[in-house]
Amino acid sequence: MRRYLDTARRYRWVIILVLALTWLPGAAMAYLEYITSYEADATIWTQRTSQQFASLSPQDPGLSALVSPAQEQAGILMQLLKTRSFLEKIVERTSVGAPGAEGDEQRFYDEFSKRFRIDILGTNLFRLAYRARDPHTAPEVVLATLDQRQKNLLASRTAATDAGTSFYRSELSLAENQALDTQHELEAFDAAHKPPLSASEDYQQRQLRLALEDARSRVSDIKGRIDRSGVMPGLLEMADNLDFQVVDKPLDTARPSGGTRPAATIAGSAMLAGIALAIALIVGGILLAGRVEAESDIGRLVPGTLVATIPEVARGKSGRTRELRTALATVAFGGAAPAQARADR
Amino acid sequence: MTDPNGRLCGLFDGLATRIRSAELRTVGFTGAVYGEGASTLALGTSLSLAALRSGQVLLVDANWLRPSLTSDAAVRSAPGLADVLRGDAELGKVLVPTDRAGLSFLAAGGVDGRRPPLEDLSSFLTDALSEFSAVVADLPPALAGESVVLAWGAALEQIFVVVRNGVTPLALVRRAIEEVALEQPQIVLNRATAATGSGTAASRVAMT
Repeated sequence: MRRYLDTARRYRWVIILVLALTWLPGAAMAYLEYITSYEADATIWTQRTSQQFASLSPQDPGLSALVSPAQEQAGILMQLLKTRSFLEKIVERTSVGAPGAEGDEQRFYDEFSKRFRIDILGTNLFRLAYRARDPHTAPEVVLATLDQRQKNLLASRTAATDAGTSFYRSELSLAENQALDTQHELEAFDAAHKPPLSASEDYQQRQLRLALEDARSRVSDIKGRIDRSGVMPGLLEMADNLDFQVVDKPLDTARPSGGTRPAATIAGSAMLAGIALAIALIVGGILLAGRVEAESDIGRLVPGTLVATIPEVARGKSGRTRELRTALATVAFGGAAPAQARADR
Repeated sequence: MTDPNGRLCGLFDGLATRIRSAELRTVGFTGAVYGEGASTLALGTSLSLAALRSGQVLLVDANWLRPSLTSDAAVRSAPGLADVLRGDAELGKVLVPTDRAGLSFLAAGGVDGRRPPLEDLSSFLTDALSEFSAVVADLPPALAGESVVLAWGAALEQIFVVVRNGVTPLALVRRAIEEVALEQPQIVLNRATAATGSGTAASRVAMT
């Protein structure tokens, strides 16, 4: 521990400089984020009569849990806010402004999406919030989001109803043809058989009349279904308005709000980065200091006694490095030495 | 020293004088890792000891992991220390004469992947000291050849740990000293620059 403290003391001015270079801009950015954040939110009441289980993990559909209406609706809204098409529709409906170049588009929508926040306040209550750079955009975006969600829902229900209606129409066409054929058969039978009718002819005539009535009642049933499906979207919309009620609409805020968390994140990140750099500096300093740089280091850092110092040999006058080892080997072993002399001196 | 390279060999005179004045007859040089300069110091110190003319000096290449002195002497295939320890050769017959009067060299010898027996190091040194006044051993790095250094450490009177200035991490030096269980390690700082401490280019020796 003492080594770390000594190194920190040795590099204190560098550490102070590093901390100043990370903390001060971090604090400035955090402050800027705080004073330019305007958050608006809407509180939504949701209800559902039946209980619903939802999958906890997309990878494991068998793992499910009971979800509250607020969790369900908040989850749906969160998923919608992750889709590019939904975000594009919101941007089109507000004064946020379209993204610039193509490359920036992804970043723009990522940033846009990150500014939404959904908090579940209770089993039936949740809050949708958006943080903007100016006081007017935030409520506008929240309202546009809720409106767009409603439109998406209506569009999907209308599409489902249209599919049902077109199915019923094809069924109606078949039923009408069947009724017409049965009518023709009965008319042909009546034309061919004049009263008095025998018992079997009478039975056959009654069978044909029954078939005709059955076909006509099917036609009328299908027509009723088609009529009902036409009003279904309206009914469902009404039901949705009851199940998804905006209790508190977003308001314009004149004072900055909602920037505390991102500002704290920025400040915290800068602080951690500064500390990490300082630690790296101290560790690096210890590694550098972990080598003998002076004779006094031996006694201080290694458990031993320094008995001799062999100085670095200067280069020769010719400019060539004169290897001490080669020279010594030549002295000791003569001509055999230079070729094998090692460079481990 | 009176040779063309006297200026360079003179770098080790201080250490050699210290060894002689401390009456150390068997010494070894090791480092924490390769590249510390232990072999160079063993060679230089042997040359200086021989130049002091206090008797015959035997330089032993005990670095079987990387026998660089044996390579320098161009006797890699010749029998040497390993063969003597195995009892396959006699010390007097495998010595390599050198160009320096009073200095003999014992090559590493044939290892063939088997570690030579180190149990008889003491008797080997006793034999060697009957013919030589000093034995200088070049040992493998402590962290690479721990068992070899440990055995030599028990047999030699003194092991010098070579530390390369500005390069060797002190953590490795500490580990090496712990690994070879040196109680009072004697450290030689190699390749010291003028700024390292003394301010002079000459070698310095602590006469402790």
